[in-house]
Amino acid sequence: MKNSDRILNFLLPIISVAAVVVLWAAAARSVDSEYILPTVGETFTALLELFKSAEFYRAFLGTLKRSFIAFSISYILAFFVAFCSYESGKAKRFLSPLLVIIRALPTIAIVLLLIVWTNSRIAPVIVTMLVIFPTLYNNLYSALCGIDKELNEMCKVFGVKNYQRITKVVFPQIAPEFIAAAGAGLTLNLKLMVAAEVLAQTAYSMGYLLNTSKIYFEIPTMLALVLITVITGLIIEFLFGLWAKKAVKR
Amino acid sequence: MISLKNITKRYGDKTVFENFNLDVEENAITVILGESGSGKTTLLNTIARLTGFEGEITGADKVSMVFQRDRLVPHLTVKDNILLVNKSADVKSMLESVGLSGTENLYPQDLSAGMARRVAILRAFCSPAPVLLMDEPLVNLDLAIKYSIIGQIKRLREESGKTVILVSHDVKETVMLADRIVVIGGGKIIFDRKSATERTLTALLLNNFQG
Repeated sequence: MKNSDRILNFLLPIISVAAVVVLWAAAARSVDSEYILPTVGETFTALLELFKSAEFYRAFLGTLKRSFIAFSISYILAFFVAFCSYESGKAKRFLSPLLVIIRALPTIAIVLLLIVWTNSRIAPVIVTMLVIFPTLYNNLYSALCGIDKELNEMCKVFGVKNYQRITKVVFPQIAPEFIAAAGAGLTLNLKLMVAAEVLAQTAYSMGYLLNTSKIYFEIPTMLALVLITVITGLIIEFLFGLWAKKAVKR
Repeated sequence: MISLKNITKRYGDKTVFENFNLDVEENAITVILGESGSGKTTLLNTIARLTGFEGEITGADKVSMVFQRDRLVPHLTVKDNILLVNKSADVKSMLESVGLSGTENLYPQDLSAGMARRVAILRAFCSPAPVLLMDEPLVNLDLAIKYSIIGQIKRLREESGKTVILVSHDVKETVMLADRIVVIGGGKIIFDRKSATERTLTALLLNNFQG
């Protein structure tokens, strides 16, 4: 890669973020109202205020914890269901309508129903799981379908033990896709969780803080919370990407 | 002795074999010669239980195999590919014996076609299974490599004492390798001798092809 290309590759994302900030600043200046669109400075002041409050950290960690739980359960379930579909045509036919129904579920209606059936802490977890499950399932199922059948046959002929076949032959083949599926779901998972928390009014959550800010018309705080969600999503994606690179190399 | 008794194999309406019988002596290389589409690979897959069939096969419960494509695991090194089928294999000396010393830590994609084929053959010989099935192991190889591998197969077979069933469509390699030659055509055995000349085998294949 040329030096100029390298510099450009480094600069382009910075320019793109800077363009958004400039547009935001220009729009805020022309609107000239903190209650409609706060300035960049006002938002950052609100951000610093949030960082000083213990309530924010409690909400932030609560949201992260629920996100992690929802994602983990959904991923394990998606893997299990994808594996059943891959192994048995009958299982796939049985599960197919259920997946269509899950995909078609109206998220907002389900949150409201789940609040009645469960409580405001569990409802966002279930909704997030339901929304990311079909995406994870599709990615994992495609990965399983990509397994080299000839290598499986080879293992069968040579009498390679199932444990060895799965760990040494099958898993390394599907690991890159499995990791990619997880990466794609992580940020979406966090966004969905915050949205579901807003609807469910979950105590000690980013969603709850957003809703409270809306009620009190604290627009800079709302924007600061959105900013934190975006940055957290980016950090998770970045850290996961770093880990994934190492894991795939292994 | 490996016995195939009344083997019938069909793909839908197409019958590949019907009541096919064959006894294979142990500690020898039996080459099954036939034209493309004569059912040679199907016969090997049947013995390896990779495909369903009617009939009975005895004496080949545990087999190893050299496939037409090498089927080496791409993300495992040469050494690990061999250890996958036999944990206690002396990989280093085995590789040395076929002129592949120093390749233990290479991956299949780093090997030439001839080297990869040798590794696939070595892997099959390293397996503890007493019966080795070889599906056209010399196909698509340069002449010099082919002859070198023929010598290695004969030597490895003698050292290992395995029973080898090899299928081929190449008359020359059949004559060079076989302790016994079985020619098949139309789902039946049309020739079965300890040895034969290239001319005889060519004539047989041509007659069967024309007929």
